[in-house]
Amino acid sequence: MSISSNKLKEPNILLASSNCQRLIRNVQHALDPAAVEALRQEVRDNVKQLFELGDHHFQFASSIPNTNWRQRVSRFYYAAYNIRRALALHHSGQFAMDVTDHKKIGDLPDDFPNRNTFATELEGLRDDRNLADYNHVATDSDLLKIPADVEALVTAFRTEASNYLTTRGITL
Amino acid sequence: MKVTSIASAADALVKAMSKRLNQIRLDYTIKDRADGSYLVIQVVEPSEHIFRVLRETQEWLDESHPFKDRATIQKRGGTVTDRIQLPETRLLRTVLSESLTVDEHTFGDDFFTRYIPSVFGYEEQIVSDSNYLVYGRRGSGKSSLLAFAKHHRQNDDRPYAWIAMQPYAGRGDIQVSIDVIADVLRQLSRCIGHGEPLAKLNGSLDDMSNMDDSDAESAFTRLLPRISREVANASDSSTDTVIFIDDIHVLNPSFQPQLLGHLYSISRSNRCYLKISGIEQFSRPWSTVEQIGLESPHDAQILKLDYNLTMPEKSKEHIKSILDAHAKFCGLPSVEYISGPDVLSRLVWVAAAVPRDALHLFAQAITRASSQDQKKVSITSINQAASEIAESKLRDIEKDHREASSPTRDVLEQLKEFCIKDKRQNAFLLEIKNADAGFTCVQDLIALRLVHVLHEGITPHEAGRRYQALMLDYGFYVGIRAARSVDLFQKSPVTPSAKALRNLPVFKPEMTPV
Repeated sequence: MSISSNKLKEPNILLASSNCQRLIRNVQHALDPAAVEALRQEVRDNVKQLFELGDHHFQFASSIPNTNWRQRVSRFYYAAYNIRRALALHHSGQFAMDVTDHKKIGDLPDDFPNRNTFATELEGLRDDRNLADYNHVATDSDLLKIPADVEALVTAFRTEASNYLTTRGITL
Repeated sequence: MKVTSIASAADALVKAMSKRLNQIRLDYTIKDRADGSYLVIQVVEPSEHIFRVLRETQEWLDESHPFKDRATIQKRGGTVTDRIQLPETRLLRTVLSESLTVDEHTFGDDFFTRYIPSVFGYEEQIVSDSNYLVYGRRGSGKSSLLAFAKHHRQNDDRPYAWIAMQPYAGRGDIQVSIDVIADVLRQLSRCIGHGEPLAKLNGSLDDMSNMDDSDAESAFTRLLPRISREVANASDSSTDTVIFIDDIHVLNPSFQPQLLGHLYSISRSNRCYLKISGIEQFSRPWSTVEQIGLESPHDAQILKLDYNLTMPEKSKEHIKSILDAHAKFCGLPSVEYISGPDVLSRLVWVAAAVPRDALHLFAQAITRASSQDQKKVSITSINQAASEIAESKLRDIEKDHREASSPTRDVLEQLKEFCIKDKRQNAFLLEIKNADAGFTCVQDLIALRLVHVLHEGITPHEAGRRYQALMLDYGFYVGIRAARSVDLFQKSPVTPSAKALRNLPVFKPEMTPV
């Protein structure tokens, strides 16, 4: 069912608090180090899975021909969106599954390389994705980026995100 | 929204951005899409800096502004022929001008993304736990190297004090040491957080500012051991500490060893390290007579940033890297995008591989090229800028060389006559005679960037007689037209052959008897 697909099944660390990183910070004094590490590993596993979800969209998007611009732009957007969710979960513990989360596509960690460039470009990609998915009168000339450039943008973002997470202890 | 109000909203956003871009307004178009208008700012190569400016500007826009969340930056389409007139090039000119004065605050948060390592790769050394004397001519990168070490400490939250010596220029009294050490203690106490003992010492130092110099000196000398102990405590309680002294050479030469001796006495064995910059020819870190100061290499190691023309290929790469970093910051792909052929090679010779001179010359050359409706920076515009800058270097004789400038000026006139009129060659040999007054004058001209070192010491004729290979600054013989009457030593910046150096004419300065 579509409603359940938008939820997580218990038990899941992401359901234990609105912010799992804050949860760990505030319970670690009461737990032994092994338990804290187990919780941290749970978060790391979820970060990895979110990145893999983005990667899955990425692989599929890459196989779509440029002429099928609506699908290509849409899938590349979802690739970037899920990779950003992985970054947010790792960096600040933020995780959401509601529709407003898409507005945060440009919220990247302060120390993320070329943060302002990626933030602006990803927000533009979101506007292009909305055109592609919902606007029946739009044409590919309305896009901010041609599909080939969208691929270049999301490839660069995926590479930087992968480096960022890997250097911070996430095994992708 | 009406077309006119959309256009004026776009203009307002670009105008607001210009406040963060040195008043430069970038080009833009308004893209009319199926979902409404989108502002597209156009630059040759979009940079993180320009994206940041856009986002920071958008933050201040009213929620109802049509481009609050609907603006982006894209590469310019089509071929750009008139590259000098691009807003990105005009921005580069202003950014180059801004970067000419380096201090501890230069580049701010962008420091590590915009810093280009020195030709000699001294960065690893300057951050290490040792005392260093960084020598270089004006604009060679002394302050940048010190700033590199300072930013490293700042990032690691480790204590330091940075003292610029310019306010003490020409002075040689004990109050300089008292004031400098008071400032050091103030800065360290801010860094380490629990600075009460240091603040107490500061009070004592402040009292000395009202004493006459001999009383102040006695009181100061008595206080030094206590200051040393507190500096040791400051280092113990956190990590090591560093004192940066920028431009020691502006102090009266007779007092330089005194100040450095005082600083050494409070830092030695206290995990406190000194990083000093200065122009070698005007710096006197150690007094042999008084046995005070910093004696190299025991007390401090020397890092020399001069002699860049002895490695011209590396210097060209270095200058290109610096200019490229600025160009990319401003939305250009590289400095070559706005330069004609061979411009960078000429720039290296004309600037004598001194980084700041290269930046200054290039900024001036952009202005020249723009006013003459050139499409790119040309060798002619570099030449014109060089002759203007020679004038400002001559003024440096007054700034840096406070004592007896006339013999130095006399030797300069002799040298101009020798190179431009007699030999018609811009390079020459000078026998190394450290005790000779004429030799010393030429060394001063080197320090003032009017003469440049091609080779530190060769033996072209007979054993035991060594010569420096030198070059007279381009500013004296290039102008609107290239100096056809002067044979320019190597047009491309490559390491000169021994044969080419051996064949240079020998200049013998004549000193007027006093």
